Amino acid sequence: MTTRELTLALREDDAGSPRFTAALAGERGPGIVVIHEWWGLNDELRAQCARFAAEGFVALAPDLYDRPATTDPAEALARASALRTEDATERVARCVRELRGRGAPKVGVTGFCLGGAMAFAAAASVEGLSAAVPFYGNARADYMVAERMRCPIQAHFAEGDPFARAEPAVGLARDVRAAGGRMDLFFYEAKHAFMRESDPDAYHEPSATLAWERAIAFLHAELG
Amino acid sequence: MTRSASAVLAAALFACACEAGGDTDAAQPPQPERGPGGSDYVHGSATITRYGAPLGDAAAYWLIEPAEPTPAQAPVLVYMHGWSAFEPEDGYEAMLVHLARKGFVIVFPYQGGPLDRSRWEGSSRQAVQRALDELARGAHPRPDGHLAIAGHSVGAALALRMAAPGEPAIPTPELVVLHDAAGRRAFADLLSEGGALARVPPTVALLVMQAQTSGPGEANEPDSFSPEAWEGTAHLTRRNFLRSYGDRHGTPVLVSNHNGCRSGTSARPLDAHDHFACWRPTEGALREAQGAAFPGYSALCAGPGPECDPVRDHGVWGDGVPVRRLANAADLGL
Repeated sequence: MTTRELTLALREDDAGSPRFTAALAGERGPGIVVIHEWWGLNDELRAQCARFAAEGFVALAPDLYDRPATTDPAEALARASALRTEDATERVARCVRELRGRGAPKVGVTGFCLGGAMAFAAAASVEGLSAAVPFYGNARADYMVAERMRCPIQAHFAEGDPFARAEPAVGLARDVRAAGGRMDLFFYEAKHAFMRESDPDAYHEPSATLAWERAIAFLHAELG
Repeated sequence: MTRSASAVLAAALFACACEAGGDTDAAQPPQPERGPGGSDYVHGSATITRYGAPLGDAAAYWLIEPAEPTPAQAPVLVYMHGWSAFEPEDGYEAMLVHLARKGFVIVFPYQGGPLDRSRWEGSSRQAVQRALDELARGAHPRPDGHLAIAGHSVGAALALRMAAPGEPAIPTPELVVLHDAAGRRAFADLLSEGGALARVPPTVALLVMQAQTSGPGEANEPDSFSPEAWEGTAHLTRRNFLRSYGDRHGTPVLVSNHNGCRSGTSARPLDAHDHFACWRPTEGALREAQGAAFPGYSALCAGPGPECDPVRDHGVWGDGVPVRRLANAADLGL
């Protein structure tokens, strides 16, 4: 299964609205917004969209940078750190509306690294989300607040990951549960970016397989 | 994709003195017994307390305070961590506890997380404001009016920015210390934004400390902010540039790299580089900026003459061979 590119107006009712690109995979089913790593919208992320589509979801991945993906870590860091969370979640919200408009009965959000952070931020700020599955990322501090979370969360972290520290998510899960919400938290004996199949140094097949199975089961349970 | 972020950045963040064997078995010089960087502590311990919750409060901070005994007053040092760090335990605790046991109160702001860089300085300034309020009201040593700001990596660049007037306002520091300011490839305009360097008041003293290798990959001078920091602060009358070097004469070898001042972890144990190339110049400059310099030692000694030899000194290997000295501004032709 392949993806195809969409061009979306950020605000549907505004002819002068900025536009952005998103990769779409799947035709019918519950929706999932898939948010890229700090590299940008690359082939790895498109492949993840196709995998979600193969599981019965309609996957839509916004390009948060408006630029081709990079493979240079310094450039990726520059892009990721310059990105305003509010701008990213505005695009996620637009993708949620797009998926609902395409018939998705429910929509979830997932993401990896930077995308994991933005998945948390979306769970805290985007209307219409029914589930969030962040992978090894933490949103800005003011988003990682239990009272702001709008949907059940299943988060995945690598143990000892120096880039996506577990502490904020551990505290968030405690507070979400105390408030009666649901947040499942899983840890893996793997490195940061263990889901990145195209990167032999980071990819950890046993962890990636287990995390994927958990994520798909959770998303089917929450989104149908 | 051919490059791995985790591999590249892990190398940058946790580069260690992995090449243990040097040319001889000579031991590294021990920590000096007295003076800047020395073990002549005036406080038996230090307390580390977090204020605010980093997960829900971008302006959270830690206080590291001298104890046993607790002084009535103390100078304040704000320390800005590097990118992706989170808390003092991320390689800064040993140095900051050392300074606290020498009598300084350290404010360690949480910068708000590794994303949304436009908010880092504001979050940090807000955290410093809160910390100074807490120190003025709570059961702490009261600030004695002396304030310095130091930082590591991108935190060093932020430290220099915070010495310039900005919002929220914080007091002007007497001194800024840069521990291997780097991150230029990712944050090229961080120092130049808003003309920050030119706005640093001329009363501020500056100590730029640069490792032999600097930044991700450990070989890329272009990633260092140190030259830009130096060139942009020519209006400061009290400043020095110190460069440290590795030395393979003894065992374990001494490595001077981007995380040379970020030690005391399992990945990078403390060594003589910490004591002589990080703690000593930093502590010396702090005291000097307060008008209470250690006798015979000036971290801001930037000239070519022998009067600057104390700041160049890196101790002596166990067999009597001097460790490769630090270079000051004059040595570097600055």
